[in-house]
Amino acid sequence: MKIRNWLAAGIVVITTLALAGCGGKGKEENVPEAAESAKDDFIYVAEYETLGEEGYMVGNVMSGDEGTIYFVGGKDNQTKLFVRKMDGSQEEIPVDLAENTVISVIGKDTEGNLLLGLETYDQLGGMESKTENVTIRKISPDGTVLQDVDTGKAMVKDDSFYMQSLLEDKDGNYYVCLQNSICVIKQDGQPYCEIDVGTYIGSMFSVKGEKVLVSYFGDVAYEVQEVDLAGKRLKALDVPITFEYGTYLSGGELADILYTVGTKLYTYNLGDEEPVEILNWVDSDIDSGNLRDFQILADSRVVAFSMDWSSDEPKAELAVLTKKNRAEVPEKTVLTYGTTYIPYFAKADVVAFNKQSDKYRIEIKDYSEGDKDYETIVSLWSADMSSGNGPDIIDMVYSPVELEELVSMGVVEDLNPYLDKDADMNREDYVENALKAYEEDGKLYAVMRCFGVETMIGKESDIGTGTSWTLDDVMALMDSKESDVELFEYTTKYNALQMMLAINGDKFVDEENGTCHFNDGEFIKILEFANRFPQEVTYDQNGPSDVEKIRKGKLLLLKETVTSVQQYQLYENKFGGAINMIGYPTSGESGTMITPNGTTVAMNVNSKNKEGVWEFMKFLLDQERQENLQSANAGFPVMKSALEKQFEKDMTAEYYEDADGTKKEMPKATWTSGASGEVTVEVFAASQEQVDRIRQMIETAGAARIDSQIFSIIIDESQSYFDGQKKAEDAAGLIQERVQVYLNEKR
Amino acid sequence: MRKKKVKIFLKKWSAVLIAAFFAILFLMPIILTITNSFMASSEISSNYGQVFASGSTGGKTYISEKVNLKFIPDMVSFSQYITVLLKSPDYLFKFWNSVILVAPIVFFQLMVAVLASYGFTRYRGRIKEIIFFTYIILMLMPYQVTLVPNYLVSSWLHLLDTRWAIWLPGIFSPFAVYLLTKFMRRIPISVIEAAQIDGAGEWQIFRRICLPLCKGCLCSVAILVFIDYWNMVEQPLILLSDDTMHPLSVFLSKIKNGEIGLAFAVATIYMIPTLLVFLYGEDYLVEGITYQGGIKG
Amino acid sequence: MKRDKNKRKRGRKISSIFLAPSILGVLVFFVLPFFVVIFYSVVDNPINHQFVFLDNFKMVFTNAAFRQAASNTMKFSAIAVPLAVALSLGLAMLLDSKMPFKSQFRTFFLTPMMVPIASIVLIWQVLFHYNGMVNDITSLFGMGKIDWLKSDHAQIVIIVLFLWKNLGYNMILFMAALSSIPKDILEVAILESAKPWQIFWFIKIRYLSSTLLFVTIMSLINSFKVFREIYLLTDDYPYPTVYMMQHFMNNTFGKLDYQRLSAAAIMMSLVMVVIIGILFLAENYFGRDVEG
Repeated sequence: MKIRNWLAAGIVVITTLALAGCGGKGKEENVPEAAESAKDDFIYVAEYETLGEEGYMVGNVMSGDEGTIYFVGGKDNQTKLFVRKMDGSQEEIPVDLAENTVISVIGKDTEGNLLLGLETYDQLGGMESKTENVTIRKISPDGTVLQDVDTGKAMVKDDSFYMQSLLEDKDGNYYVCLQNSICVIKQDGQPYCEIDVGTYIGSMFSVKGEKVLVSYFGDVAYEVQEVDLAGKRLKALDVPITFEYGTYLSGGELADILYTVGTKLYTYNLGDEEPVEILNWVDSDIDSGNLRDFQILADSRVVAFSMDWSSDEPKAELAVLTKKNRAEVPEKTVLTYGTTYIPYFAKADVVAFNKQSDKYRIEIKDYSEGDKDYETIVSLWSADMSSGNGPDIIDMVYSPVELEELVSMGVVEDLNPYLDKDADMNREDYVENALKAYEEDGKLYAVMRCFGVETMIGKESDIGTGTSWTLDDVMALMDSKESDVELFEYTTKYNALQMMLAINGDKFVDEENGTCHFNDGEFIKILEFANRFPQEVTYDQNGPSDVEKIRKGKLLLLKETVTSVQQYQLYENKFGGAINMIGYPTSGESGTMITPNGTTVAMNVNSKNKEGVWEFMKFLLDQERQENLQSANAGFPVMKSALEKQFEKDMTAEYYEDADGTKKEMPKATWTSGASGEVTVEVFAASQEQVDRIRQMIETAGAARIDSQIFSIIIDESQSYFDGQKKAEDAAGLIQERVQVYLNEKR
Repeated sequence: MRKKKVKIFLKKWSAVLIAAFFAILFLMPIILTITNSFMASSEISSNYGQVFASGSTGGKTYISEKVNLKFIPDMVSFSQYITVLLKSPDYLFKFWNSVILVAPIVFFQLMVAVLASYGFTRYRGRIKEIIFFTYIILMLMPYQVTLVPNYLVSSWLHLLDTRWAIWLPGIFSPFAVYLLTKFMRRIPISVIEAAQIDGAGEWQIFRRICLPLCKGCLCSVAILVFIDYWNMVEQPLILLSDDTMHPLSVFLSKIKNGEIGLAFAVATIYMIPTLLVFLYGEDYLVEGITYQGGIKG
Repeated sequence: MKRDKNKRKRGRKISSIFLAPSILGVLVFFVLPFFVVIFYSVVDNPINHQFVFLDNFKMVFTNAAFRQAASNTMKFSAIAVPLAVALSLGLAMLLDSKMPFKSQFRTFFLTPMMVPIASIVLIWQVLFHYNGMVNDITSLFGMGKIDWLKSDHAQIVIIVLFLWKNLGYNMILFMAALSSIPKDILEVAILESAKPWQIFWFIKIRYLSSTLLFVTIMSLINSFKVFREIYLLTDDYPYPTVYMMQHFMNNTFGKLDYQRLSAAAIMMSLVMVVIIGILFLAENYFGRDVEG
């Protein structure tokens, strides 16, 4: 009886507690909800302004008090200091510079004065100029020189000397942030200490002059540490925030730390439990990937400075964000962009689209937001899709479900009618193979902005000049060489298998009849081929570079995704002779594959704004957008004319004049490799033949399509063969049986 | 006579032996879970690392080294517990989530069910039998089938992402109704009729006669319902997109490599409520199942 | 007489009130979703909602994977459920005899119910790993290594898992029933020098018949619940002999193929209706038999 009562009482107590706790919880949870709705009521409206003086390149930028922006403008090896005030006025602050001296970096002290890091070179211009002297100058905001601190060459260790940022703490110590270290300089110019961080420093900033914090990508995560002056080292700063790679931090006036993770701006005060989310940059059409500095003003306006490198001329942009009631802002139709990861290119494309469209705005819905594991992400995504609440625009690169499955459940719209109907568009304008990559049964399900070509590269003398080869050819090549000659660098059994399956995986599957034949000789041959590679590889940091190995004949092939003509030229250089992009071994067909290398999207059948989605697709395929891909290795544009224009550009040499006045060809791209950058490859204008080879490769490339489920079964089962537990035949037999179940189920 | 004694002795102890053999088999996993939770993570990974070493696709892969199953840790270590209880409040938070989700379900499911089973017991007719049969069928539905419709219904009722989406289907689950009805129908009709003749109304019969007789059974059903929901995985995963509301069982259902040691500790902690429920309720599990108060079994 | 009839009517009404909350809840959270399932099963896909009548059923029924899953599941249930009933009855009889440590053993047998799924799966994986404990033991007896989960032996593993999880509870059910057999009948039987097997067969089984059917239904229910463990133990696409209905459903669910999932579910429910219906009728028949 007693026990019974206890039990009953226990259940009642737990239930009450649970409900009470839940009630309490409910309240707590309502807070962010309320905040969210409040956030929904407001929106930060951005006004943009291109920063800089006519003809001057914007260099170092720093935000001062009350939204003033100080920046260095450079022109013909001369630098000037400018200030841009919140009223919109912009003027030069006169700085008296000695000969061969430039303003490298600007910073501030704790009293509202400016610091300038001045570098004096032995000569101006040219690639070989050396830093002779570094001076830290303190000036008042109107330009009056308050102090000159000469540090001589104390900080200059080698040619790679580069000042990232500069500040002064309340005790009058100067902190100079170099690439991998922090130098602390006393008032008299004597160095106090240099703290080596050992890795590239993301940012250095002071928290209200009290503490100096440094952020960098540590061993496992992005870290923020405090400079411990007495100990001449960094010490851990206990903050409950997780930062991600790419986080940009700075010290604020209203809050201790301002930082951006992903697409959002947060503030954080030391000692607080949690950061405060301020805004989502995407909502204000700002690509957070380009952000350089930001500051929140006392009147809640946000000033953000960003550099856009996507066009030929880098654009320095200042945005002033004003908090406005949503009702005051003209309403745009909202389209959602669903993805499980936000790559930089999608962010840039969405922001650019939003900025130019006055009818639509795209909001990115990241299903992985929060700390979710993959399974949860997939089930959320699936539940949304199947109930018809899915996003209007579906990111195909980061969709957790493959195209085939989306097609079979009827979620993705056929884009061909749109393409045919649209008067502005012409199918013939686009690279056929790139369109084909997402085509199935004559229906086009997704479009990509730019692409790369996955292939295998080797010397013509090794692999011949054919356009494809078989596994037997590869094995023959392997057998013809000494045993210490590597076929690929750092390739495990698993990598090799994966590689072989990428293009050949679907060969063993007869989709039509729902059968497969993994237990025949062909597949076993692949397994045996993969088994020739080591179980594990360790990356040898001090070992010879790939170029060295290739030149010594110890490495035969590279497997790469080629995204530019320059890259091809690089490989020619690496191999030191004629090369052939032969592709992966197949049984006759082309072994090169087109892979998306930029924003790739499909249209949701359930979208209520299909016109809007098409607008976005058109925007991606638009001539202007096609001709201005973000960076050198962004990939090949899918528009033929843009591609040809790119080729044209690749073949045109550009020149510059060096210090002596001799005309020199400017390198198109520079690669460094090896542990300490000892191998530098410069690539110049391409020849017609090189471009033709790329063109030919694009024209013959197929599309990679491997069913991820089959793939994971193969990987799972082949392990026991690689481990020597089973014979290749038995492993192949198990694969056959399991894949057959899968195929049966699919029918 | 002596021979008979020996025979009885032998019989008795051979029964014990058989029972002991089964007991060892049955106890092994629980003992392993507890002892392994006191191993340092290095010991764990050297023992089991190979089982859960995963290829980059995430599939489980098997590597050909010895896999040890050890009962006694080389060195007793509390490091896993320190991590779970002190370093990472997340686990305790999730544990609390489990309690919040499960306790109301158990309590209210029993309330609803005991009423319903009384309804099913009294005045049995064709319609009621059909309804009862439907309950059994619904009870047997696998979760995958009902999950998406449940998701839709929850979203129609605006319950999605709130705990109600878990609570309400749980509270009205037919499982307890089935068990309790099975039990109540064994209460001899004569007991109830006697009360009826004394002029008791339905509510009084339910309150004064049925409920007291059902107490044991209620406890045993409570235990079963508790265990069922304490281990739920799929429902919260789909219906609560905010994973701060997820119960600990969701974490336990997917252990990643490197978390195995932690998983043992978490599992051990997670077993404690079940253990307590069992210790207090085991007798009811046995007694509560069959009605013994009447004239016939 | 009339008063009595009125009273019955009133009672009937009141008893319906007792049922109301449950029926309401079940309607909203179980029956309504079930209708959604039916709806899904007769449309071409969840987006278009085009009526296709029985196409989905035909497609599922002719699907080789579905057939395999159905036959594997039936095989599993046909072996595991009777085994579970027989073994647990055996254990219950064992513990029912006069033996020491009775209550301790009873507790031990119940422990599998407490172990969280994570531990179960983990430990099972270690036990039946290619280099795991079971293979170590069998090799002591000179047997070769078996890849338990990836061979025809996989079914044994899952049956053992099912038995391990459910024997304890079933045993408890039987023990309860055994203890409720009127002692006087047994004593009379012993006095009449009935043989043990006669006592077992003619008295015990007769009195246990109702419990037997109850245990069978519970085992059937639990045989569906144990699939979560099987699923976690064997991946989405396991060795063909352990490819179960649950795999089929889980995978079609994962592939957003609701029309097929729903069709499969309805077919499964139909089979279930038949099985449970038979058991139900049998129980009613035998139950009455014992009661008088």
